[in-house]
Amino acid sequence: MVSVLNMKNVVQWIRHVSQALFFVFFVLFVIGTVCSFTANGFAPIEPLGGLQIIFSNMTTFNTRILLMVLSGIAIFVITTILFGKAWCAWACPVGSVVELVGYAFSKAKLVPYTRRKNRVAPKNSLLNKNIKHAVLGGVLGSAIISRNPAWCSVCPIGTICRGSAAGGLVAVAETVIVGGVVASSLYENRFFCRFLCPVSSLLTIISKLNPFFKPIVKRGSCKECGICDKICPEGIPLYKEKELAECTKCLVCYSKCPQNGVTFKTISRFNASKKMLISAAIVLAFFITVIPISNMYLAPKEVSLTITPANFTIISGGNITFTANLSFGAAAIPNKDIVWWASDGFFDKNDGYVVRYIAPSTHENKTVTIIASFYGDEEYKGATTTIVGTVISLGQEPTTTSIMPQSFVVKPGEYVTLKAVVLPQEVPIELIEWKLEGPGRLSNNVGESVTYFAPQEVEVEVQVRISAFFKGNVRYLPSMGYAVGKVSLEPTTPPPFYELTGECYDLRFSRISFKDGVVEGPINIGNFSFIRIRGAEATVYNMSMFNASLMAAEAMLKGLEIYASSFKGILDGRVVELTGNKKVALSGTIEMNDGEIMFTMLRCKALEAIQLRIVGKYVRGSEPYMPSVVTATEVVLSQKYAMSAPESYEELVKKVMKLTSGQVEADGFSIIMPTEYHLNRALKEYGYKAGLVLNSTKLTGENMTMYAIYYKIIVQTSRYIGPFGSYSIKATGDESIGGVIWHLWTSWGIGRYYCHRVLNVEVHTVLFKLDKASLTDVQLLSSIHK
Amino acid sequence: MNRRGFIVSIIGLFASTALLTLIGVGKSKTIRPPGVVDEDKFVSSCIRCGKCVEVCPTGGIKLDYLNFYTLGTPVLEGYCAFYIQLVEPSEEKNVHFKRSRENAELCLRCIDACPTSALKRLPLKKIKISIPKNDKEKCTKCYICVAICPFDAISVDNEGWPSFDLDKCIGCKQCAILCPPRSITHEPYEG
Repeated sequence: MVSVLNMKNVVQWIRHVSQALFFVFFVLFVIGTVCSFTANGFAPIEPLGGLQIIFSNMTTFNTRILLMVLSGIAIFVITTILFGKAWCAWACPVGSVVELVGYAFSKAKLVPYTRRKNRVAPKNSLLNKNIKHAVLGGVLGSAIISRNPAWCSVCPIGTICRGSAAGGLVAVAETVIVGGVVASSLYENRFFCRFLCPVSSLLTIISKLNPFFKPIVKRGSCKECGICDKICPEGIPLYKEKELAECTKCLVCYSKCPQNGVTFKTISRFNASKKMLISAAIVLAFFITVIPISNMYLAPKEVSLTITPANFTIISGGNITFTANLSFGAAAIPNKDIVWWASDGFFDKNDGYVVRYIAPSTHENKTVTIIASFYGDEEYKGATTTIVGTVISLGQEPTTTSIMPQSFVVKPGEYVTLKAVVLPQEVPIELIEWKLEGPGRLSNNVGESVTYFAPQEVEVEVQVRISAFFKGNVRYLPSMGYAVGKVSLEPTTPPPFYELTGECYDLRFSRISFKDGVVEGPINIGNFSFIRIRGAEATVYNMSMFNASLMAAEAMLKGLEIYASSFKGILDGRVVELTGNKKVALSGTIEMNDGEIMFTMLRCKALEAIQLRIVGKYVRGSEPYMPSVVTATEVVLSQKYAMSAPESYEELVKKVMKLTSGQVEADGFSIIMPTEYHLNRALKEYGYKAGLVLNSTKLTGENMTMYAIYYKIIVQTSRYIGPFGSYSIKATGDESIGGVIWHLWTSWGIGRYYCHRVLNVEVHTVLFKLDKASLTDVQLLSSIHK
Repeated sequence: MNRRGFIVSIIGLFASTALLTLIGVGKSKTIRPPGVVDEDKFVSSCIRCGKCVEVCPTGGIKLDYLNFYTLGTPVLEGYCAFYIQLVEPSEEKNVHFKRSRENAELCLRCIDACPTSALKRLPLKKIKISIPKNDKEKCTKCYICVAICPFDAISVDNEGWPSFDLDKCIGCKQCAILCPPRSITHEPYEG
C-alpha cells in the first residue's frame, strides 16, 4: 500500500485519470471538439487545421475564417507557453490509446515496456525528431498546392475523435489509421508522436518559449544509471539536459527514477534569448487583443425586424403595402432575404422588403396573421415578426367570373367571340373590363362580350390570355376570370385541350346544407383515411367542381354520399377543418359556408341545377384512328331542368342523360363526335346508337333536347408494394369506394394502398337532338345509325 | 536543427506535398449537406471535424470514405429534413406540414455547427443540395412525391409524369426516401 500511495504513483494515476476523462469526452460523447470548440457563434479552430484552411484559401480570403484561426492559435500559444507539450501526455486521445496498448502489451510480456530502449538513436540517423517538422511543412505545403486540407482526412487525432460518428467503412479506414499509429508505437514508443505528428511539431516549436515545469536532474543524487533516457516516451536525453522543448510533462522520469533524482522546477531558467522573449511578448499581446475583438466581430448580431404598419384593418378584397424594416441598432440593413407568409389572402411576391398584400374575399370579418421572417446569415441572427390584422367585410358576397369558352384556338386573321359569366346569376353585369395579353386586338374593352381578332400573320404559334374583370359593387365583391387562347398556324389543330386528370376532385361552394347529414370518420384504407359525408338531401349554392369543371349556381343533390380526404368550411360560425386523420362524428342538419371538399367520389341520386356547365375532354392518345376525340360543351340553360343520375355506370350509360330546355344559346360551341373506332367500341360496350357530329361557332335552338352520357370515374392507380411487386387496380364508376376498398382488402391483405390517388375522368360523348335550330357553320363529320 | 535535419526536412516537405497532391488527382463530386456553393471552396475549407454528422437529426450526413482526396468530408447520404418538423418524414407528416406551414422551423443545424464556414449560411433561395431525376421505367405514377414535397416543387406534366421545378427544389432527397419504387435519384448540384 505504501508503494501505491507513493507520490510518484499518485502523480501517474492523476495523469491517467486526466487522459481517461479527455478520451471519454472527445471520443465517446463529443465529436470534433478537438478540431473546434463552439460557443455562441465563436468557434476557434485548432491551429493545424486552421493553418491548413488559411493556406488552402489563400486566393479567396475570408476574414471570418482568419479570425477564427487566429483566435485558435492564440489559445494554443498561450496554453503551450504555460504548460508546454502537456497536451500529448495528459489529453491527446491518440497518446492515451498508445499508452494503454503499450501497457497492455508489457503486462502480457509481449513488449518489455519499462526496460525497452529508445531503439532509434536521435543522432546521426535519418529517423530523427526533425521529421515531424518536415511533415508539418509538407502538410501546409500540400494545402497550398492542392488547395485541400488533406492532413485532416488522415489525422489520427481527428479520426479517433470522429470515429464513433462515422460508422461503416469510415470506421474501417479509421481503424487502419489509428491501428497503424498504435502498431508503430510498439516498435518504438510513441513512434508517430515523436517523429511524424505535425501537431507535436507545432507544440514543440511553441514549447521552446515555455519556462514552467522543466525536468531537472539533481546532480547530487544522480548515479548516472541512464534509466531516465531510456524510459522517456519522447526519447529526451534528460541527463544531458537537451531537447527539453520536447518534454510532455508526463512525469515518467520523476516516477521511475530509482534515486529520486529528477525534480520539476516551477519556473526554470529561461533559456530563450531576449529576442525570442520580446517576439513572444508581442505575439501574446497581439493574440490577447485579437480574441475579444474577433469575438465581438464574429458573433452574429441581434437584429430587429418590424413591419409597418404594425396593425391594419382592411376591407375584403382590398390591398395594402407592407414594408419590412430590418435594422441593427439604428442602421438599416438592406438587401437581405425577407420571406412573407399570410394565414389567408396572398402577396404579389413572397420576398422583398416591400410587398403588397391582397386581402381574401370574405363576407365575414376575419383575422389574418402576417409573418415576415429573416433567416439570418453570417453577420446577423435571424428574426421573425408577426402582425395581426382584421379583414372586414362590407357584407358583400363573393362572386366568380369566368369566360366562355375558357380556351380557344384561332387561325391567324380569324376571330372568336368571348362572353363573360358572373356568378351568382343575380349579379348585374354592369361593366366588365377586358384585357388582352399577347398579340391581336379586342373589339371593345368594356362590355359583357368581346370579340378577339387574331393577328393577320404569325410566325410561330402564339399564346394569348384574355381576362375579364368584374369590378364589383356595394353588394358583390370583385372577381376576375381568364381565358387562354392559341393563335395556331396549323389549320387542323384539334380543339382546346382540357385537363381532366388530377389528384382528386375539389368541390367548392359558398354554402352547402345537408339534411339529415352524417359526417363520420376516419375510414382507414392502408395508411390513408377518408371521411364519409352522407345526406338524405343536400343543397349547394354557387358550387364549382374542379377537374370535371362542373359549375352550378344552385344544385340539389339527393341521396348524396361523399368520400372526402378533407373538408373545410365554416360550420355554425366556427371554422372547421377536418382532415383524414382526425376523428369526426357529426350528425343532424349540417350547414357549411365558404368551404371546400377534397373528395374522392361523389354519388348522388338526383341533381337539380339552374345553371350547368359541362366541360370535358377525352384524354388523347390511345385511339388508333382520326384526330383525337374532344368533346366540350358549354351550355347556358335558361330554364330549370332535372337530371336524375342512375345508380350505376351501366345504368347511366343505358339511360343517357336527357337534358331538355325551351331555349338554348351557345357561343363558341364545339362538339365532335367520336371517331368510328371509338363509336364502334362504344356500340359494342354500351350498345347505344349515335348520330351526329357538330362543330359550330354559333348555335341557337328551340325545344332542344340534349342527351349526354355523364362522365365516368376511373380510379386509375392504386398500388400495393409487397413481396409480389406492384399491383394496380382499375375500378370504374359503378363500383362504390366501399367496393374498391373491399377489392383491395381481399387482394393482398394489409398493405399500402393509394386508391385515392388518381381519379381519371372521361367524358365519353355528348349528343344533341335538335327539333328546331338554326345552325351556322355546321360540319357533319360522320353519321352512324344502327 | 542541424544541417542533416534541415535537408531531411526539405526532402520530406516535397515528398509529402507531392504525395498528397497526387492523391488529390482522382477527386469526384458527391452530394453535400446544405450550404455548399462551390465544391472546391468547400473542400478547401472543411477540416473534417465531423460536427455536422454529430448534429444532423436525420442521421443523413455521413463521412466520405470512398475518395481519398475528400476522406472524412461530410456527404449527404440520407435526406435533409430542412425543417425540424420533417426530421422523420412520412407521407402523412409531410402532407400535414404543407397545409400548416406557419410553425415551420428551419433545421440547418449542420450550417450552425460548421466552425470554418465550409457550410455557409446562404439565403434560402440559394440552397441547392442536389438535383432530382426520375427514372420513368420504374415510376408508377403514384404521385406520392407530388403530395409530400415540402417545397411544392413537383408537379404533374402533360403526360402524367412527375416533373421537378428546379427553381423551387432544393434537393433535400425526401422524395427519394419516400418514393415506393425508388425511381427518384439525386445527382450532385453543379454550379
